[in-house]
Amino acid sequence: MEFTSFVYALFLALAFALYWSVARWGARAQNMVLLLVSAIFYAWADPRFLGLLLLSGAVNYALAIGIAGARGERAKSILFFLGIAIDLGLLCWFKYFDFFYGSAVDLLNTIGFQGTHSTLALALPLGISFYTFQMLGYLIDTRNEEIEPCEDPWHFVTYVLYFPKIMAGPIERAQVFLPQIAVARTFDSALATDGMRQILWGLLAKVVVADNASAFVDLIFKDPAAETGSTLLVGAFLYFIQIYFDFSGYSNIAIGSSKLLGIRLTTNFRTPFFATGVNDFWKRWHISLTTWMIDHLFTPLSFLLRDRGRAGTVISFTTTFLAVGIWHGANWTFVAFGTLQSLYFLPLALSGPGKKTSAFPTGDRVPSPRHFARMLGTFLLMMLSFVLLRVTSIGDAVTYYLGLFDPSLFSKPTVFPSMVVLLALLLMLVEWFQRGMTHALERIEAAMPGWIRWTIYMIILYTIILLNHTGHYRFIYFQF
Amino acid sequence: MRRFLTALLLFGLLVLVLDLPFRWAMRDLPDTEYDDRLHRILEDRLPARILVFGSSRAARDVMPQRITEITGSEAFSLGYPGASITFQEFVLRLVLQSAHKPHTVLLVVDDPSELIGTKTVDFRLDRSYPLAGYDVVNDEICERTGKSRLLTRLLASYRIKESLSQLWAPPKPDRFDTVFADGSMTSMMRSAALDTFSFQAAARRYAIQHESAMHRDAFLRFVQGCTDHGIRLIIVHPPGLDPPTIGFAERIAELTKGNAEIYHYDTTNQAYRDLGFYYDAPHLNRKGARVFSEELAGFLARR
Repeated sequence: MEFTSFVYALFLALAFALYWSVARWGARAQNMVLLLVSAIFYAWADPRFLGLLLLSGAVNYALAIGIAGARGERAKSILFFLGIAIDLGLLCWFKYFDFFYGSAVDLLNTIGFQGTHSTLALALPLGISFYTFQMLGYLIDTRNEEIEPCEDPWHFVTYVLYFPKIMAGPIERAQVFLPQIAVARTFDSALATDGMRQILWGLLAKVVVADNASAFVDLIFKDPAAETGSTLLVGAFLYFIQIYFDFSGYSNIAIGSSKLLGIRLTTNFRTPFFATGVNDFWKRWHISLTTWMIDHLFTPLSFLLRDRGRAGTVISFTTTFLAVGIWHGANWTFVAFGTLQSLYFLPLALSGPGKKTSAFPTGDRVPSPRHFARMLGTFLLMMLSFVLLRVTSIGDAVTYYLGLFDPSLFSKPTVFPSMVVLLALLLMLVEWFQRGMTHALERIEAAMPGWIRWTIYMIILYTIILLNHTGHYRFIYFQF
Repeated sequence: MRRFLTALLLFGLLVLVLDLPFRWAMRDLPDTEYDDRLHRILEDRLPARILVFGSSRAARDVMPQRITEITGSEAFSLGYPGASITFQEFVLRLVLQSAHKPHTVLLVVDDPSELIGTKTVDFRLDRSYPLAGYDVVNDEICERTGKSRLLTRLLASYRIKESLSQLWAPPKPDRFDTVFADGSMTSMMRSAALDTFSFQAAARRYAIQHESAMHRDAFLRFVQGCTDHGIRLIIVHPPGLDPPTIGFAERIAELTKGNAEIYHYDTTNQAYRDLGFYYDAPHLNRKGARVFSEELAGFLARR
């Protein structure tokens, strides 16, 4: 059941009706409904791993209580590392085993040993990267005594399984989520209306821009060696806008759905295309992952290596970006992605904190030439690096980059979907004027009279109905 | 809550009101089609007793008009260039649901790609979209594309979105797509590829492992559909300049399990070795189609 399907719309309507109809019986009843509909939602996609998810949640729940209640640092540490080992062990088993095993065999073969490739080819539990990081964060925060462990097992399972975020995030912090479900929620009409608007914007981004771009992306990335440099440039551009509108579209639908239930989720994107530097980009792209990485990996590492000066900083952010890269999947291309991000970051780290780029004021309608040049430069750098998330091997990546920087870069591209590019630019333009907001339609209520708002909604809705791509395209981040 | 739900309800009603023009447009869409063969089936306006099915080889190689003249039974072509057996089977299903059922079906097969999914043949969604107003066509489109059936029932705009532009820019047939009165799409042109054509002595061997289950199942359903309705099915192997794939005809015969007659073109006819009778290597031109159709009609008249 995908967020863009009509079945999801019906499911959400039923969940909404059931959830608010039990509101008079308090938080427990509401949470029971959330748990029930979340379990149905997950099982609908893949019932095989619902048990694993519940078991994993139960173990983390128990370990967090154990950590908080343990007497002595040693006992706390044992329980903490046991939890980390279980969470990472499951993630590695399902997601990375074949990759690590295959890479080890390749290495052995290179140095003269005879190893044979054999894969487990395990099915990947849906959302495993997202919920594992959520639970890891919960254990770390409990161990650091930043949060009290959740006492109510039903609350905790609801936190783990909550359907708007289970498939592809946002990676929600327990300290943000759990207090919201600890009390009974009352219906907030303004919040629910904003949720509907956010869903509408998310649908527009996903089914009109991302899905229509995907057909051309598939075509260009299928055989990069056969394409001209200019076509590969178009391919890199299309993939960059596809992955942004796909994932931000997903996040908007997830956050909007949650608002209908009176629960606020973390903002995941803040107009990353208008970033004026690499560091600025990562503050705006997949925010729930980057903040997780900064809080739970970069900051502790930096603290640990604080005596090593800039070398310590370089090691910290390189490790963090490698983790970000490999979080996306089990392939050397993702390692290369993380490495490339580290290289992008290197000049900034070496120049020190005083040289950091600044985002321009949100009130400015037109960027200054300096800011525009920075925005364009950042866009191009990130666009080129995201090719690594789309190609299937390092060999393909090399072919792609070599083909891109070929004299044919200045020829007319053989593929140029002007309609898709136009739609993407239009959405980017709207986001430019709404860049201080959590989504592009957030300010519309205060800024416009009702009939204009409804006209805009209707135009967006009919654009979705008429221009959505016929065919089936899953959200890209489901595979990560 | 009440205010929110009322607004939502009003919004939903407004969406349905704005959808009404699309509902009216849905009725006019089939009339924008220059190729009205599918529409004729759906409207029960195809009384032909002999129907020709297949892809471009059926459309270009067979002249139903000659078959009608020789056999006295009205023949009509439902050959669609680029159509896979999955589309042909769908068209057969439409025919079998109509009031006028044929007594004979000629299925012109593609050697060797009949059961193998290739880029050149596919389900002709473009021919189906303008007829999405018919539930039976719409359901098939939903099945093939993943469109929500429920939503197509609710919103005509969603149902006909792919062919909406036809209302103000109706498609025009190009020189390859002229559909004649007998449904055929024969051509008098000659492909430039024939200028450099040379006969190949060695034939390829048919590779069963390349068959697609989807195409094979559709072929089996096609045969079964004819059998169930007591229709005489003739599998036709048309002429071509390339040598027939070794094992292809046998494979087709094996799959029909005796439920169809097999007709193989007359290999002794020297016309089929003459480039003047061809558009390109796999397709006859109008002159060649005439020869082949008379040969086919002779076979039909004899039995």
